[in-house]
Amino acid sequence: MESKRPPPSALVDSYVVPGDIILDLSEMTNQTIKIGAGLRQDCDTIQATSAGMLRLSKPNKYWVESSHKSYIPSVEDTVLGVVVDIKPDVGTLVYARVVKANSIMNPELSCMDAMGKSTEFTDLKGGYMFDTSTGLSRMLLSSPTCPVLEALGKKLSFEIAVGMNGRVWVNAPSPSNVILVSNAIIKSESLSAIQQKVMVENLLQRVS
Amino acid sequence: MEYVNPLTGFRVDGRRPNEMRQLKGEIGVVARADGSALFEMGNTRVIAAVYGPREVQNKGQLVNSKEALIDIFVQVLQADGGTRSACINAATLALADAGIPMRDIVTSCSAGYLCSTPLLEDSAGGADVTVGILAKTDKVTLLQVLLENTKRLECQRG
Repeated sequence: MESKRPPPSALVDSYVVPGDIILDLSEMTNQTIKIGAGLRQDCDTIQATSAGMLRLSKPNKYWVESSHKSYIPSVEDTVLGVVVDIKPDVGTLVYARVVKANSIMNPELSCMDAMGKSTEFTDLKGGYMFDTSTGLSRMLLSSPTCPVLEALGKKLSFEIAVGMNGRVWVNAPSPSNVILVSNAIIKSESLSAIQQKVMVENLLQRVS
Repeated sequence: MEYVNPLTGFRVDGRRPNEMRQLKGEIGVVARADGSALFEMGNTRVIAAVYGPREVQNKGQLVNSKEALIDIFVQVLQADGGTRSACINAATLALADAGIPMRDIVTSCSAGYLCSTPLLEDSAGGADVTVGILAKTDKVTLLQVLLENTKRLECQRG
């Protein structure tokens, strides 16, 4: 049976706003399209419901990548959360995995991975945690290492944990390094790679 | 005196009848809000801030047993006509900035009518209509006509 590949949407890798029609399904027959965050099916069309960049993961998964302050929980995301319901650990900051996300509020987290091991999921002691946007978290988690972390890592020793819910935890031997790394990360969101390197160099020069 | 100068075709502020005022929009202006926007239409300036979705504290606020609350705060900073339109435009941008899923963007503008001439963004002392339209689906969500302080204007034909 011959199956034709549907042409990818013309809007892939460009900015979309709510209401934009991504795909017209009446043109396609017998195709499976997977739609992710920020998209909605309305009769014969797929429309964007949030503003951001349309991404396509071959062969057929579409989603809208956007950066917001508020995070919408999604299963299998790794996040930084604060324990609310297990005494005596209430108030502990943990790096954990989302296992159940029914509504916008308080998803269920687990410190074990799918196999039952808890190698990387742990509570984070000391250090400093701050909130940024989901877009900045994605940038910090991207590979190859994002420019601001690479530039900081060349001169300073620190450790960070990045949650996809926009939270970042920084720890370093001295408090001034914690502040320096945190400020550099916060400032880097809208900067290009070169601007990030320059910004980090300026910060380091002022301290040393 | 004609409202639209018969020789030049301009109104008092230098606009033709079908010309809008200068538009300017900026998002992310309120750091504490989940989403925010500043919108200017000429000298009318409005700020909108969106908080939410968040858990409902007061059960009396529940509508249709939905559990999430979205607060939209709109503040008029400077009013020079068309404030309702500017508020709608600012609120739409703030909602988009907050990432709240929306079917479409709402856009709004107002216009008046004087001496058989439609005047964009001008009430000209008479009745004016404000329209809210869903940009992509092309549907009207708001249609409002206001008749305040109408003055008797005499139209002299020379």
